[in-house]
Amino acid sequence: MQMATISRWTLAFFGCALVALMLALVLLAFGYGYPNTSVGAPETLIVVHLIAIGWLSLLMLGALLQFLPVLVGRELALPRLAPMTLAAIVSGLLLLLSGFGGLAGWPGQLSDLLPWGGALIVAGFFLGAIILLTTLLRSQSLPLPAGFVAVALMSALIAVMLGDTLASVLAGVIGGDFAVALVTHGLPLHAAFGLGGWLSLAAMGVSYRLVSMFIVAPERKGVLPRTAFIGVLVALALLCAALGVLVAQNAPWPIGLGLAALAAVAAVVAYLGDIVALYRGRRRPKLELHMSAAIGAFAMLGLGVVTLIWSVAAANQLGVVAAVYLLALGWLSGLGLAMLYKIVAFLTWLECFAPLMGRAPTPRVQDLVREGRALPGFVIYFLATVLGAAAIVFEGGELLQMAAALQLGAVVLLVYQFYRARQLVDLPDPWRAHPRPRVLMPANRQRSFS
Amino acid sequence: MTEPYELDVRPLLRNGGEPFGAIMGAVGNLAPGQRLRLLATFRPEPLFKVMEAKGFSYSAKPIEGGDWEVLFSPEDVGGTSPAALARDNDPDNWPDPTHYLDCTDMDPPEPMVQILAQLERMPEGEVLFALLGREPVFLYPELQARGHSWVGDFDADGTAFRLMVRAGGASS
Repeated sequence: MQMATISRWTLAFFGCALVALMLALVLLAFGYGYPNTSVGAPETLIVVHLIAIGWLSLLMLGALLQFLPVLVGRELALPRLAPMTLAAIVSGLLLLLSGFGGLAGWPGQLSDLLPWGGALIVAGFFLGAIILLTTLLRSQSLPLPAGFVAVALMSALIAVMLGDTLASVLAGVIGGDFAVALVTHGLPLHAAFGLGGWLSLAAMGVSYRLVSMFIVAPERKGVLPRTAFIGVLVALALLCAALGVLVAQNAPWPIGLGLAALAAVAAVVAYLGDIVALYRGRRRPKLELHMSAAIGAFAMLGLGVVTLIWSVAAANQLGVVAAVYLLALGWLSGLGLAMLYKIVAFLTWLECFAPLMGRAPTPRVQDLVREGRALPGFVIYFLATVLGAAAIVFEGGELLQMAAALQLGAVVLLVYQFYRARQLVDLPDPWRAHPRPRVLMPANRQRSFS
Repeated sequence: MTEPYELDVRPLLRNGGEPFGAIMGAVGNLAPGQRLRLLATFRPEPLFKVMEAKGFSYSAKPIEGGDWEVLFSPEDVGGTSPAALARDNDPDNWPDPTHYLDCTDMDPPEPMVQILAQLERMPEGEVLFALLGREPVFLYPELQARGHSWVGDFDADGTAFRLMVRAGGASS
């Protein structure tokens, strides 16, 4: 029977993810890592992996556990693997970060932990991919958004396996010419598979459906979404080929990478065109806050890609770092925060009021939140992200710290709003006394899990 | 109780014919509560499942010459026997919808609220037809918990989802 239920572990994924984001921003605000160390320094790697794995990947996996069944109209397969996925990734991340700490000179032989942390993270991603790919395989049709997710999951697996190999090199387990080549030329591939193939593709796939659902616009069909999908397929295939060349010959493949970038840019342009068409074709004239905040994230995607093209053309290393900052903290994180603002309220509403629907008056989902209080959070967050990127380009170390502190303040404000929505604090009077749900776990309401 | 309607498909079978259409035609012409006596040259196992889905129980006995006589009896409407439940869950047996809802311009979760509110006002057995912008996957657990049965699909060009819900009685 086709039905979607509340995914029990999604909120735990979200909670861990938000903690990782706040930790990373605290480190950035205190000037830990870049620009006080180099981009590839272990301190910077700690911040980067807190964001990429701790925040973005856990956020995306938690969201997919809830929304992939909605995308394909099938119940989630093997839901019992979800807590194991979370435990493996979180513990693997802790080991990985300690390993980087060892390289940064923390006491003890911590760097030996790197491959173990990497292996645990690989295991966690495989468990998550088993749940999600099995769910996809059981669906009778594969709508376009689900196609994006399927490709993104494959890319995630490549990214973490490549990452674990890199971790083994850094820990000194693997040596020789291959190790040198991997560290020199493998890092951009690792980042492209992770930030591009995995996180961006999953975000694109999920947003195709969520945007059309939240602003009541007809789903996108035709040339543009197909161009976006073919573009990402071509880009990923070329990335895989480049990885093959690197493994076989210990050498990079610049032409392949250039073509992959072209295909990716075409895909992003088509995708952004689709998003504009969705917003224009919406049937609800007034946008709720999460959908206007999402516009900020889409703008960051455009800005990030333009910055990347410019800095590659101008051979500006700082520009590349700024572009990655815009894409990770502006596009992916901004979209994540905007969607969380709605998803947390929606899931809480569903958990608390679904049994009352049609029998007693129920509040609207919007009644769980106060948009006026969260609005400054989103405005400050996006402005601070642009400020941070500018600080990177113009080498303003203290300005970057200030931007990160502003981002942190905005995120703390938003997390407090998520918490209030979850605790039903902002509901109007008739429902204020409604029993409150548990913060990070849905209630064991058997009816919804049958 | 009215006399069972008798249908002898043995001549048809002996001539190599396919009796299914004739049987279904006879079932469709039964008066409410009327039984069907079927005479066949073998024990018609596959038919039992079909008839169960339509809400009939059966008793089969061999008669002279190796032939079989099967008596199909309709279950009480609203009964809780497996046959009655199966019939209620089969949309072919539902009456025409008496209530219509267009939810295509509503944003989630408004369609769920409207559909469930309408179902609360409907007596058991009545059917609601709703048009939605997408498949209401979060609605199904609630329909199931409240004892409603439903069937739905996308229209030909895939832009609207058509949902039929038969109001159930065993809500929780």
